[in-house]
Parts: sequence; structure tokens; C-alpha cells
Amino acid sequence: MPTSTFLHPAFAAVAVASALLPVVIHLLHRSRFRREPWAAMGFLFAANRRSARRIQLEQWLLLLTRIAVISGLGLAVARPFFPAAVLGALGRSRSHHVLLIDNSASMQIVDADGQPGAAGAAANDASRFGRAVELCESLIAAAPPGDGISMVSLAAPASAVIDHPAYDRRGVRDQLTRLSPTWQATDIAGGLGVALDIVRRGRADFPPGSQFVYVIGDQPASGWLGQSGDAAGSASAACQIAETASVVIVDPGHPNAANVAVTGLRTTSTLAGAELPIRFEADVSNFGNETVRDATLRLSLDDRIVHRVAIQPIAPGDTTTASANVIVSQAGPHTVSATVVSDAVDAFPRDNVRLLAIDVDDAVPILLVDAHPAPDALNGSAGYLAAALSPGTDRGEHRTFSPRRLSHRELPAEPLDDYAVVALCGVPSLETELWSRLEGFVAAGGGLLVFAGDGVNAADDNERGYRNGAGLLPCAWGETVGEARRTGESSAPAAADAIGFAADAFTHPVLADFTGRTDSSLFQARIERFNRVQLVREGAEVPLHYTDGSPALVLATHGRGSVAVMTTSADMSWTNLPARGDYVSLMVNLCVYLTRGRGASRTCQVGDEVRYPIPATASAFAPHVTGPDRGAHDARVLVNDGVYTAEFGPAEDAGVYTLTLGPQQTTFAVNLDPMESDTRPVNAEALREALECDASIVSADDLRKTILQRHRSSELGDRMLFAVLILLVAESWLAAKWGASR
Amino acid sequence: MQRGLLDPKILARIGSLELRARLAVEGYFSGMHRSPFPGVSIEFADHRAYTQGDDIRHVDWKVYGRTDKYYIKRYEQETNLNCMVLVDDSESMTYRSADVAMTKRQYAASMAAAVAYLALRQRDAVGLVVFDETITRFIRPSNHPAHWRHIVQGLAAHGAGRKTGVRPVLDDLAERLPRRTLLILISDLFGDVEETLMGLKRLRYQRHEAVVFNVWDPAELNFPFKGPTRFEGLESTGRLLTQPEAMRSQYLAEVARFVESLRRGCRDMQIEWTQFDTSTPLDAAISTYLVTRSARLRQRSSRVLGGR
Repeated sequence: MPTSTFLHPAFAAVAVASALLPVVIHLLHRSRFRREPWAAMGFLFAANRRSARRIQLEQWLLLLTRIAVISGLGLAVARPFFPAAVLGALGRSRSHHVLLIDNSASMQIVDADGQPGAAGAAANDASRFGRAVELCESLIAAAPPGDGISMVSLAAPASAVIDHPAYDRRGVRDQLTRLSPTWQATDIAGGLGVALDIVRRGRADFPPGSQFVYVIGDQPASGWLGQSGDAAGSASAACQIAETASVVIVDPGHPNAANVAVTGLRTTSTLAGAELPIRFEADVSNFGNETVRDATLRLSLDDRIVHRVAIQPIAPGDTTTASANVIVSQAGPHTVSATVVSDAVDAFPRDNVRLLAIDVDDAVPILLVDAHPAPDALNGSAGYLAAALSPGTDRGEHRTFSPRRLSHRELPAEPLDDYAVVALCGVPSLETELWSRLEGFVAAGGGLLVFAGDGVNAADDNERGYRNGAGLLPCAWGETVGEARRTGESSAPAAADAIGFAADAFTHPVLADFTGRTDSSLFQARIERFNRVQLVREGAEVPLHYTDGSPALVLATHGRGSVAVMTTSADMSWTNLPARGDYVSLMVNLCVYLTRGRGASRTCQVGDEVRYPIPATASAFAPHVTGPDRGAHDARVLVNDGVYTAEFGPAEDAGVYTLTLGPQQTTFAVNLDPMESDTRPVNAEALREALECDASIVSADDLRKTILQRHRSSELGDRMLFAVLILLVAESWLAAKWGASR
Repeated sequence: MQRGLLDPKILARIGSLELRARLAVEGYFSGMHRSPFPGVSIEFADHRAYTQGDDIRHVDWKVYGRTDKYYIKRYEQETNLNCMVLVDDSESMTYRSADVAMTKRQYAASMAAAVAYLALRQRDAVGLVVFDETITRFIRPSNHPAHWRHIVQGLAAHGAGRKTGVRPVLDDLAERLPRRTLLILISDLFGDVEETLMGLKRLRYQRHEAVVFNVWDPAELNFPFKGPTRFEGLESTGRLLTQPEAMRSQYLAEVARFVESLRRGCRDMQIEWTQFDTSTPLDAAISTYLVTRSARLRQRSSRVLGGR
């Protein structure tokens, strides 16, 4: 609630204090008299006796008039307004205005008809943001004194700039001035959610119908209706607000801007290996109203142009995909950029480039953790898996993977960051700290492959690995079903009651090689023993199951990485699958799938907090991060359960960031949210239909007029200035009549 | 001589009261084409016994030849007028406002000296009374030319500057003056009007003539002050902090009431009352004296001729 009925309470306080000024001047004046020796005192005393009372009265009147003039002037400057009680008696009430200002990347577009904004930080700013700030300035100026103003930034993640009704206009303007355009995405739904909280809190102070939520921005269709055209997130939030407050969506009134953008860049190769062709695909979208012709896609590897691809004409609203093979000669981290080059007019050139960070390996390092390692290659719980991942090693062929076998006892001392995938092949229970390290490893983009087996301690794994769905494992181990195979019967026929594998669909990349191959040895394999799993975590996938319907393979993501759980053994102890040829295909596909997160931790979007796992040895160095503008950014090294990560951000701009830790440098590719490229404004009629609630879509000019009308009806400043003018005339007349120097 | 010398601003620059008076009178007469007061013919009136100090030139040697006694010839002019100038020397007379050259006391002294000089020049006997609450200096009337210097000296000396007390002084004077005398009272007369008039009334009762030169400072008549002013009363009459503009009209009304009371009281007693402010040239005072003297002599002449 406002504590006063003044727009500038400080001025009001000064005005009250200055009311004493005439009294002080009067007293000073009285103390600064001149002395006059005088003979005719008799006449003077007699005159004084007759006129003293009148003079006193005149002086009081004049003094009161002067006090009224000075205090009235000060109070008028303080801009008084009708207090809530008076407005209530007059049938009006104070209002609460919640301004949602879009300061996302697309607001930096300068439209063809752009006129400079008027004030604040956006002075002479012809961008959409400058116009939005100018409109907000107008609304703040026109809002009747006594009305509260809140402010929300729509740059993702939307946040409250002023989360309560503010009555100090100067403070509100200061906050508005501090608000700057960003390269982040628009978060209309999030902003409306923040606004909903604000108006709900405001219900205590503002009666129904007196709260207004203004959405001010370029109103992109993608922000309101989503990519699919449904108004799910933003519209439902707007309708929730509409139950408490009036929602006013300010129509920006600008035409759709010409914009072509690279909205996607990825590699379609299963593995990125050195000296092997890596295929890149880039999505180029045309969000303008004209067909884009003669555009070229330029692919660069670490700032070196390596390919140019001509792009077919792109019709308005269409997206085309261009692809090219690039051979990377040197293993290690690299940054690939795709840039669309065109002679067409482009209002938003910042989204013409997209970056991708990739890790190129000579061979993908995989750590196989064996429950009972043996010198014989195929013995031990990880023996068959090692053989499956390195076929033809003895023939000197190029290796895709580089598996390393290790006893589970050696695992705690092994640095996990050296590997792309860690496979736990029926290992006994792991310590809690080791589970934490594995969580960090996977969260940073690593892959974890877990096999059942005789050595597995289901209770410990469930307690430390699954943790009621909060842990790394996507499912909890259940009962073990079936009998174990006898040793040495690797090729023996399976028991008659053994079950096999089955798949409902082959859309998952892990099973892509088995599409249409119902005679695959995968489905010929027999499983004599497996673990049932319980409580499969939400979001987990089961692409492969047993013929009795129990899950055979459970996949889930964790952070930037993935986890796969095979509910039977990696060796021949529970199943004869490892002896089947398609075991190799399945395991290779699984490992490729699990490595897809590699490099993902180095490709992110503006606004992301960047976290990157680093070796413990690198933590000794102070991290330094330079951004696309070559400026230094704050960075820190954190350790959590023995896992070291370097963190910086949120990244404020698109481009390449470089993290330096001692002698090692790592690059990060930061892109704009592709949603920001779709600057097509929402169609008002489509939005009205989608909203399904009472929300106004008005032009900026109409909004200004409405608020100005309310302003005039509640402010007292003009009336008070008029009263002061009358008092000034009265004071002049009285002073002339009774003596100007009194 | 220039009539400009009658201007108090000019006279004030002249330090000597004696010279100031002479210049004023000479200045007065120099401006006239023909004096309306040509002087009285020196006509023998009677004899009186010689007393020490009399000028031997006035000894009537013929009478001495017949009677062997020294008699002094007395002429009509000598006994034209017995004049006593009363000058107020109270503290209120020391007031001088910023725009005038003389205090009321200085103006009164100049006025008294001029009148005395003129009187002696006319062979009138002139005496001086300087007073505040009481008579502080008394010089008997004499028509000896050297007497003027005594008067000037008497005027130049200032008293203690106490309160004005006209009534007791006039009462005292009534006791001291056996002969009919023309009393010229020069004062601001700040005090009880009734008391002042009572004193004058007693003198008139004893058949003395009286002329009142009521001296004011211009500021006392116009009250031109502005801004907060603390008036500190002379004669220990207290002080008052006030806004002069606010009470000017009331003050002037009080002054007017006082002046009217004096004027009416004097008129009722056939006393010539004239108001002066210290910026007024002295010729008005001289004129008043001459007019009064002339009237007085006309009365006496008719009385003397009538007695023969």
C-alpha cells in the first residue's frame, strides 16, 4: 500500500518543512530590525495601542497566506492525488499496472518504419525494444498517481524487475532505464506466470477490475502459439490472469520483418572420428514474406571455411536442410559454424550463424568394469563386450572404440573423464561416492551402461543408484528370474523354457539395424536369467523387452548424458546373446547412442549456465573465460562429491566462449534460441481464438489515451497549482495593502 | 547676504551660533525691497537714575547741570520690548532624523539667537531661559549690544538633557518676571498638552505676551519609516518594536490631535503658535517675531499717546 497520497512523497515532506520558511523569515526579519532613537514616543505608544491588534491580525493573515503559497507549491510539485478512500467515495479506485516488457533478442530488430524511441536508455533507439521502452515511459507518465506499477522482464527466464506495486515513478523509471535488450529468448509463458503471482498478491490492495497486465513486445506467434500453433503455455497463463486482472496485449503494429536464419546444426554421423567424413546438417529457415534465393551455406571448422553449399530457394515460412561432409584431420574438441549468406534483406542478421561444438576422437574410449576379470579375452563379465566393441583389432583395422577393461576394485581410482562410456558389467555394489562421480560424469555428457549379473547387489544399487527415482539409474532392480547358465555351455542350446527378446518398434536408434530383420540373431537369443525391474522412472524408454513383457533394455537421459540398463548379463552366464553376431550390432549401437552427449556440454544457448567437467588436476588452475567480444567473464571451479566442474555464465551473447585452465583451452559454442528467429507477429484474430478468455489486443496509441484519461481524473496537482496562483495574487494584494516588507 | 542663508542646511554648516544668527537675520533683511519694519524713531521717554555700568554717553548732562545728579536719558526705543526667549534643552530636543541638518535643539538655538540678535538690533531687551524639567540657565533681559554674546553663550551650553517640563518652568518664570514681557517659547512641547497650556495661561494672566515656536523634526511629522524598527525613546520613555508602515496613519492622527490641541489652546489665549520643522528656513521665525513685536508696539503707542 502507498504510505502517502503523493507521487513524490519526498517533495511533499520538503513542502511541509518549507511551510516553516515564512515563519523563519518572519522571525529573522523581526530580529533584524533597525534602531531609531525617538522623541515622540507618546504618540507612538498611543498609535500602537490603537493599531496593535489590527496589525497582528494582518500579519497573521499575511503569514498564513505565504505559508499556504509555499507549502501549496511544494505539495503541487509532489503531485498529490486522490487517496484511495476519496476515490472510492467518488466511485473510482486505484489501479495496479503490471508491465511485461519483452527484452529478448528479437526486440533488437530495427523495423523498416522504425522511429527512434523517446527516452531513458532507449533514447534515439529505433529498435523494437526502444519503442517498447518509449511506450512504457508513456504508460508510467500517464498512469494516475497512486496507481501501483510492477514490471516483468520477458527475456528467458522471465523474471520480476519490480515484483510489487511501486508508487515512486522515479524508481520505476530507473528500473526501466536499467532494463536492457538481451540476446535471450522470449519467455511469454514464464512472464505471464510471474505476472500471475504479482496480481494474486495484489488482490489484497486492489479491488477486482483494477489490476491490468500489459504485454509489450513484438508479440511473436512462436511465443504465443508455440511452434505447433497451439496456445498451450502462454494462453493458459494469460487466461489464468484474466480471472483476476485485465490482460492487455499491446499490438506492436509493425509488419513482419524479413529474416533468414540457421535454426539448426547437427552431425548425423554416428561417431565423429578423425580422418573420417563427418556429415553435418544445417536447417535454414525463411521467416520473412519473400522467397529467399541464391543463398549459400558456409561451413567453417574452427574459423576456417571448409565448405560452401548452395541452398535451394526457400519460400516464406519454409525450412530447408543443407548438408555437407567434413573431414577433421585432428582429434580433439572443435567448433563448427554454419552461416547463411544471402543478398536478401535481413532484419536480424545475428541469427544467420549457428555453432556446434564437437569432439573428434581417434577411437571412442570406453571403460569396461569387470566383476571378475580374467586373463582370457572372453572370460570375465566384460570379456564378450570388449570383444564386441573392438572387432578386428588383431587385423590392424581402424578401431571405432577403444575399450579398456578394469576390475571393479580399480574403478574408484580411475579418472572417468578420460572415457566416453563407462560399462558396469554385473559389478558388485559401488560406494555412494562412486555413484556420485558417475552421476557427475553422465550429467556432463558421458554414457553409462549397466548390466545385470550374479555379482550385482540389487539392494545396494537401488539405494545408492536409483534413490527412489532421484538417482542415476532409471529403474530399480527387482527379483531375479530364471536359472543361471552353466559354465562352458556358451554354445549349448537354450533351455526349452528360456525366453527371448522382442521389440514393439524399431524407431529407436539402438534398434535401427534390426528394422525388418525378424530373423535377426538378436531375436534368436535365449535369456535364461534376468532381473525384473521396478519403478521405471518417468521419461525412461524401454526399446527392447523380453517375450514375457519384462523390460530388457531401459534407456534414460541424465543431464547431458544417457544411461542404459540391460537387465541380463553382458557375458554368457545368463544369456547366449553374447555368442550371437547381432550382439556386436546391439552393443555398438548402444555405445554410439550413449556417446551422443559428447560435446553437448559445449554447445548451449544464450542464457544457459555453462558447466563443464574437468579433471581434478585442472582444478588447481584459476579458470579464465573469454567471450565472443573478447571480454573476460567470471568463472569458477566447483567440486561436488569428488566431481570437478568449471562453471560460468549465464552466457549473455551468442558466439564462441573459451575456457582456459592452465595450459588447456576448451571452446564452447553458444547459440541464439531458434525461437527468436521466428519474428512473425501473432495474428490478432488467431490469438483471440486461441486465448479462449477475455483479453484485449489494443494498439499502443489507444492504450496511451485510455490511461491518460484516467490520469486526468485523479491527479490534484493542476488544481493545486491553480489554487497557489490565486493565493499568490492574494498575497501580492495583501502585501501591497499592508506593507510589502512585512 | 543671501536669503539662502536662512536655510537650516546651510546654516548648519556654520559652526558659530553667533555668526549663524547674524547671517540669518541679515539674510532675512537683504531679500526685502523695503523693510516693513523701518524701526522706531529714537524718542525721549523719561529719565532714570544712573547706575553703575550704564553707558555714560546716555547721561543727560543738562539735567546734571540743573540738579547736579546723574540721570540717564531713556528713549522710547529702549523700552520697546522686553523679550525673554525660552529654549527647551530636554533630551527630546536632541532628535535629528537622517534627512535634516540640525537637531531640534540646534534649530531652536539658531532660532533663539536670530531672534535675540534681531531684538537687540531693534533695541529691544532680550533675556534667555534654557530649561528642561527646570530652568537650567537664566539671563535677564538687556538691550545692551554686548548682551547678545551672553545669550549666545547661554544657548551654546547644553544641559543634562532631562525630560521636558514646560509647566513648572513657566510657573517658575511667572514668579521671576515682574514686568510685562514677550515670552518666546521654543520647544517641541512633548508632554502633557493641558499642563503646557496651564503654564501659558498663568503667564497670560500676568499679562505677559507669549509666542510659541513649536519645533518638530520632519520625521516626527511625516513618520516615513519602513521595515521593522525599534524606536528607542529619548527621555527614557521606553521602546517599541513595530512595523512603522502599519501604524503610520494612527501615529499621524495622534500628532494631529496633539497639534490641534496646542493650536486651539494657544488661540484661545491669544498666543501666537507657530509650527516649525527643522528643515524650515528661519525667516518664518523672524517674521513671526517682528509681526508680534510690531503688534505689541502698536498697542503700547496707542496706550502712551492716549496717556498724554
